[in-house]
Amino acid sequence: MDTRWADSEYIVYTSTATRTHVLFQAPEGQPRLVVKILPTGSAFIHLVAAPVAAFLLRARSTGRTFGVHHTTSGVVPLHPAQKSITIKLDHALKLAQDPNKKYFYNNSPTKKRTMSKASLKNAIKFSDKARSSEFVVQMKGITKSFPGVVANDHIDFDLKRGEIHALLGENGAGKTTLMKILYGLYQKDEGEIYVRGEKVNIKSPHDAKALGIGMVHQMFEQVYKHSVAENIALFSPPGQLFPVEKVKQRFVELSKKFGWDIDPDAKIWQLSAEERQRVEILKVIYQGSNILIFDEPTSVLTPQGKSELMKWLKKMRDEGYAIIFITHKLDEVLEISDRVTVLRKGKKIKEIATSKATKEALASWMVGREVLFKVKKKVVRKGKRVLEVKDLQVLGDRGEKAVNGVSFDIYEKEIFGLAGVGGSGQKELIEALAGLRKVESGKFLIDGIDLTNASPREITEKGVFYVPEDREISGVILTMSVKENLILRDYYRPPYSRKFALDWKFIKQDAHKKISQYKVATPSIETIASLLSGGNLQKLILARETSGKPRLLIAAYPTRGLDVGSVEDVQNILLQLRETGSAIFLISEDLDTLMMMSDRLAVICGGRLTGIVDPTEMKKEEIGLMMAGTMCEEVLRARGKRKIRG
Amino acid sequence: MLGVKEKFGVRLEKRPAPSLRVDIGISILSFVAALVACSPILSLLGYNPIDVYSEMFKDAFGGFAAIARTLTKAIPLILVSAGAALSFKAKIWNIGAQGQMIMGAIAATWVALFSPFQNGSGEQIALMLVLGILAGLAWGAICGFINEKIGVNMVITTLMFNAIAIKFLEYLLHGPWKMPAIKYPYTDPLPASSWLPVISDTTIHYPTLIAGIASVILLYLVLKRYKLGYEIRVFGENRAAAKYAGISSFKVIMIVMSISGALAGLAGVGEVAGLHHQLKMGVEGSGAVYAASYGYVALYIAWLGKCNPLGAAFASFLIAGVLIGGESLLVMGIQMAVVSVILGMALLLLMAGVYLSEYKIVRRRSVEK
Repeated sequence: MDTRWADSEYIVYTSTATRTHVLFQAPEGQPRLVVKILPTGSAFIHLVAAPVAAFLLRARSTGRTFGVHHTTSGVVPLHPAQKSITIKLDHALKLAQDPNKKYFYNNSPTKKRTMSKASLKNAIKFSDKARSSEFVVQMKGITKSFPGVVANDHIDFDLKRGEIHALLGENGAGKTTLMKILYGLYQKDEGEIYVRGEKVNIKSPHDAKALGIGMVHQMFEQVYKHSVAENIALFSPPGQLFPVEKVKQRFVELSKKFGWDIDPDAKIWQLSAEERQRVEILKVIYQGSNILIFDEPTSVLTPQGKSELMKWLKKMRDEGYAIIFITHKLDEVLEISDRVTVLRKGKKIKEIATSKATKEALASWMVGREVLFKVKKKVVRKGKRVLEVKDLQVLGDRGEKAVNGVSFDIYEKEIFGLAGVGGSGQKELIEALAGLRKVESGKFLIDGIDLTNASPREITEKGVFYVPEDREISGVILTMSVKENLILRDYYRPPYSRKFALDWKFIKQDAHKKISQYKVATPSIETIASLLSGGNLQKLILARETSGKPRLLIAAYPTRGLDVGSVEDVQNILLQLRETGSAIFLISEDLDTLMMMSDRLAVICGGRLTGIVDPTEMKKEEIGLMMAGTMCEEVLRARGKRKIRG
Repeated sequence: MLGVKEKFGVRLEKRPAPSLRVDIGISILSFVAALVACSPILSLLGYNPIDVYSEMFKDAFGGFAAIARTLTKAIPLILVSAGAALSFKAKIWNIGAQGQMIMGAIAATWVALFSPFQNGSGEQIALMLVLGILAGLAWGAICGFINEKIGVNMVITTLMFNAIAIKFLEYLLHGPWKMPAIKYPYTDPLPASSWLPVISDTTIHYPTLIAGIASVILLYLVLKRYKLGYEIRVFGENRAAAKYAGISSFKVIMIVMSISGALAGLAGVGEVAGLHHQLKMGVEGSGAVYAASYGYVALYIAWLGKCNPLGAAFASFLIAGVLIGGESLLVMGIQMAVVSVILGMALLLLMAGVYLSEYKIVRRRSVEK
């Protein structure tokens, strides 16, 4: 079945501008037609006629209230060969209800109902204006400012039918803001948006969905304890009872079409990140969207999952979906997109066909300077053992064994990497080591001292510092100043404080020193942390956690969400620590970085280590297999090679 | 630029940094707004609003006697709102000041009337103060303990403890501590030797006032300069970060609840030993129906002062003036219900002002071609 919403059959009326209309949408798979009833200004049309027409057409009401801005979506399919027609609405209704007319399709035969012609005497016209536009989305001169920053500064962006348009930029460059404007989550300050050639005013995600725009969020909007079908039904338009059974049927059809095998009765929490993302994609398609926005979709996936996703994105493009791909990863842009728009600091820097772009050029547009893609890693001999973990078991939030018997050691002058799909027990393991989560059984020692279930402060005092995963939740206090954030770890001891009082003079001096040493870009040390970009926040955290020469630094996802420039800075800070004798426990979802940075690499799956390997001797795909649960021995046996242990 | 037209649409935008000038300006504006809003009601009742307001102002702030009255009323408010500001700074929703005040008052009364320590000396007054403070402290600390160790919601715990304290007071006044001579639920008057000294010709019990001002300044400094203050602020702004930094939530909650409980307890002692000189129902409030317990009034005072003890102290004085003004309305013969409406309106608009002062009005510009 052809899934594309054929825009050649997409027809809107041409008439005087009015917002009141009835918008009929075909479900995906059928040509669709938008019918707009011209109002005479009579409340009757808004309150009675439009809903009645929608009902007769087996329409699903997406309107919030019957009133001035009533939007209803329904089904008026048109024969593919037909370009343009002009009919009266009552005629259209009759045709729609007549199962014998072959070019009008009806979901189910309905009883013939009569409508008062007087109430609908306004003529409806269809035109093929939409067809004349090559672009499905055009955003012109979009400007949006937040207090203190211009997030989008007169940005032009467009999207063609059947293309993948990558939106590339550092964090804080304004990509997500731009897309949130398109999706109706933010309101633009200036600029115009055209969807299929028609100027639109998108006031809420509801409006966006009615226009066929769907967004796959970075953090999935799903209810954990509900089933897949319930989650999809939840986001289907209001005005119906809870249509789970219907949804299930449609969902199975849809997922089969994509070759995905997802049980609609499975609960969300039982699914892997990949499956949850697929549910999210199907949800958006189910809503009838054909303009899809993906916000950094690969950040939660394994390498295998990533290449699967890429394959599907291409397939969807070929089927006629228009796709916007938000990312800060250059390789993904080059791999998947047809065109790329680069944003930097709220401004559009470049728009180019991907085939003409190189990685280096993209990076320099994005960051505004030359970027090296390889860190210089000196050869150092590893020293004494710092951390010893013995058969550690830790419970997760739901009481399950999140870490199930993990043992490893980390030495001085060593970066020990931990790879794994998100939710494999990394979070619980790190929190246990930082003293934030209770250890069920097993133990861990720092320099030979047992610190199992010690308090966070006791652990810190033994020289263990920690860059947390949820940077903006527990890593910094967004509402406090830079200088106050810099003392979060050490405020209680000299030289930062005396017996009771804080030594603000020293704290200020020290803050100035740290922000210049770690290149934290901030207007002043009194600036509120929430005004700093992600990269600068991370450097602030690193300044706090590493300037005290840690014995062991636990760095959880230190480069997550950072732009290329900041990633480089962070990596250099870690490498420098390694050279000066610290042990580093590096947890990341970016396998390339891990393999480049780590001296040894452990892979975790389902709370167990599937192996500890030398990353220089492994292929990325092999580590991907281990991330999916294959033991290292098996991977190596398949290759006929000896395993390396540290 | 050609084609740029300024439209007179406006919108609210969050202010990046607070400013003292704006805060004060908005407070004055919302006060004026409250007066304007109440004027029609007064006019309907046949009063001239201007006369009424000038009378209120005269009663609250016109002359030495008026200011002394207001200051007397401000004493418990300063103490309790300083404690409330501290708890709110730590985002600990302690609304148990009423109960803590009552327990302080009961403890002081016990020392003065029923304990073996009634020797009329200075030590006895000291003992009243200390036991009153300890009673309030304990009442607060128990709530903190229950909240932290058992996990009961702080709001519910403190509310329930208010109810317990009120019922305990009722029991004492109707039972063992009832004044034998009359039927009303009062205790005997406290012996004059156990009264707190006052500034002559006024009712200002200055030891409590001095203690109040001292604790306000001390709390302000602690929050700004001391390790404990830093811990409290971090805890209030971001509990996850506090945990991560190794700040013990038990310690912070217990300390904050103890301090605010102690301050409320002291306020309770002040009301009994400095003003009423006997224990009675409503001892923790201004006695009139329209103003609930000081324990609750102080909660919005803390917000008015933006959870800053100094700000809360100034707001206490202002609100005390409003309460005194309300009493003068009663004297003028305006019904209690109307007075409640007027005071409620004034407080509501002041609170709205606090909220608005976090925003600024931005004129929206749009490009038209």
